[in-house]
Amino acid sequence: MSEQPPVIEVCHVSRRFSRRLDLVQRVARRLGARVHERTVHAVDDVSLTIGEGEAVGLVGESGCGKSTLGRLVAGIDTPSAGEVRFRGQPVAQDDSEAARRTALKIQMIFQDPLDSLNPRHRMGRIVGEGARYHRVVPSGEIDSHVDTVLEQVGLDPSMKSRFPHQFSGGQRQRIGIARALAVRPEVVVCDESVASLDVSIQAQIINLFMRLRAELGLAYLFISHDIGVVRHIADRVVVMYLGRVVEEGPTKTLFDAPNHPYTQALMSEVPRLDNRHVDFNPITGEIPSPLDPPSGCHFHPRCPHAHERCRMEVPRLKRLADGRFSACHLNDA
Amino acid sequence: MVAPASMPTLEVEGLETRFITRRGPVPAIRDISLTVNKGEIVGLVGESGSGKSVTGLSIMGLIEAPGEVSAGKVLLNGEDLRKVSRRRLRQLRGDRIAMVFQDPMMTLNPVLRIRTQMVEAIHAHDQSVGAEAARQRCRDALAQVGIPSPEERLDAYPHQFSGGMRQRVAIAIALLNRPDLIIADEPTTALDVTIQAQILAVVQSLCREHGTALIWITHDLSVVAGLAERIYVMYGGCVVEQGGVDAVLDRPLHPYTDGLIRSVPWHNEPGRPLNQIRGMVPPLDRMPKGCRFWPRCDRATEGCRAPVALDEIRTGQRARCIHPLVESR
Repeated sequence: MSEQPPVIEVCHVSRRFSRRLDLVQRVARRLGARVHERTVHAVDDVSLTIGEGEAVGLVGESGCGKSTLGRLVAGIDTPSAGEVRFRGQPVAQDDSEAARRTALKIQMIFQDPLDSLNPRHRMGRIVGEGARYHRVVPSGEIDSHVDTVLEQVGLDPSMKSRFPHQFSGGQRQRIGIARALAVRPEVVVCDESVASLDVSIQAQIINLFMRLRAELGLAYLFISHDIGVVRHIADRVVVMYLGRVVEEGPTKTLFDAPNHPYTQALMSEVPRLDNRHVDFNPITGEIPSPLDPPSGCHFHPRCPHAHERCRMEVPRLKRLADGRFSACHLNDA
Repeated sequence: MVAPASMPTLEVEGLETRFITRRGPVPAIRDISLTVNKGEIVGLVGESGSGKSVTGLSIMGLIEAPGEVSAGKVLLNGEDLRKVSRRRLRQLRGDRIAMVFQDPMMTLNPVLRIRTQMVEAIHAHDQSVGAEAARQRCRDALAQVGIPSPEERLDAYPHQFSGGMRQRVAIAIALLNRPDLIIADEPTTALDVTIQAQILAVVQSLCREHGTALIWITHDLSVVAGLAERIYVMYGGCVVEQGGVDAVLDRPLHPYTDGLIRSVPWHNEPGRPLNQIRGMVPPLDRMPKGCRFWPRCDRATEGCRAPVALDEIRTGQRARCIHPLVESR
């Protein structure tokens, strides 16, 4: 192998959630009733890569599977099919030493820091616990290690003995970031990590993410419904709709000329400061239920360009002339 | 009471609401004056703790103990809502003035069918409406906000709707009696972009067609940019800037407004550090004296520690600042 494998490779990963039949339904099925397990394809045959120090943005609306994909990459959840590789090695889901080491290298930062921080633990313990347990640093150096990490994220180490509720929203998000960094990860999955913050605080945290990336060479999978934030932070953007990737490409190309009709709709409907006195004329239709997705291209019921083929055939993610990928039958015409 | 054509739908003057705490009364909003004309969409923008929601609730008369509206006038079509009887206030609320919340489940009762709740809203204000006529009005209201097959959906329960559809139902209920004013508090914040755009379209056409006045409360400058004609920017319980949407967003006078606009990612070169406002919003009981923003402001001087008035600095554009951003930028 001449080339270095990417840090993260997601290969044809699917994640299905099914609701088990209850007793009555199982008996009914035995008796010949037509009862089926209901299955949600939260993530449906998705592949993506994250290169060394690269920031990949993952955008889409609720129910598109972006958070599930994030959890699969972070190893919190196991794919139903396909595999996630870290530096060419499949991420194992066992208790082996190798699996633990890999798990440490991929960390996750959540949306609501208050939900993900133990309210009964002091901040110093929250940040240091992972590092202590996994012996990331010798046990005598834990305290100084925690101090270093706290300073890195802009928190005052003298506040170590406070509880999470004594911090503001922005500070709590910094604690979540510090906890992730304390085990020296190489990849950080950020799931809506700035979504619940006020505009002025959001800017501070986005700047922190960018500074940490430059200082530590971190790779990001940056999941957000906020396209403006993703445009700012990501090198490459992946757009998902109902469990599938519909478009992927370098941020600038994708934002300058979105190819997929869904991406186009998403871009045109993001409110922007420069768009004044708008006559709102949005795409119609709701996001369909993932339990019962439309046939063919999932987007066809809402798509202004849909034709017969879109209803029948699932469009493949194909490479376009400018190097990006899009899953739309219109590109074949 | 028929209001003269020139009278604004809503006029708020010097509104103050405070909360009684163990350490004495703490004002949450102070000296709030707003005007909303017939059919006009006005944006009320601010971060958490700026007092924007308290302003909405105070106008509606929905502040409960330990809070109290302690000063000011709220004139709806010339009638002061702070002086009218409770009975009259109940008559006006839901009829002439309505509110839409961020979480539609604040409005909807989870155990009642949509129809029951909507008919109740009609009958509360006019008992003479017959059952069939009421049903017809509910159906029309649902159709108006873009709910497909409204006839069947009337019999559904709130949990059978998606978030976006539920918010439409809440808006439909607010619209039932054709109010003169709707106060919408972050109604699309929890919704996806494409659904948000649909709701904005509905709201915009309603204001245009029926002359409903609207106050859109949000933390998101970008939504207001597209929707509103005029905006009020709040910080620390005060209006710090107000004016036409183009004036305020293109030529902000107050350093806080300017900072907010500059920190929006779309306004920054991708990959470069965002402009940020340092520090954070102080808690209500520890608001600095004078200009609330001075500890975070680069232009602050000694003079900022004295009370600052909301002065008209350009025609139609006011700012509460003694060092406004004029020319010298």
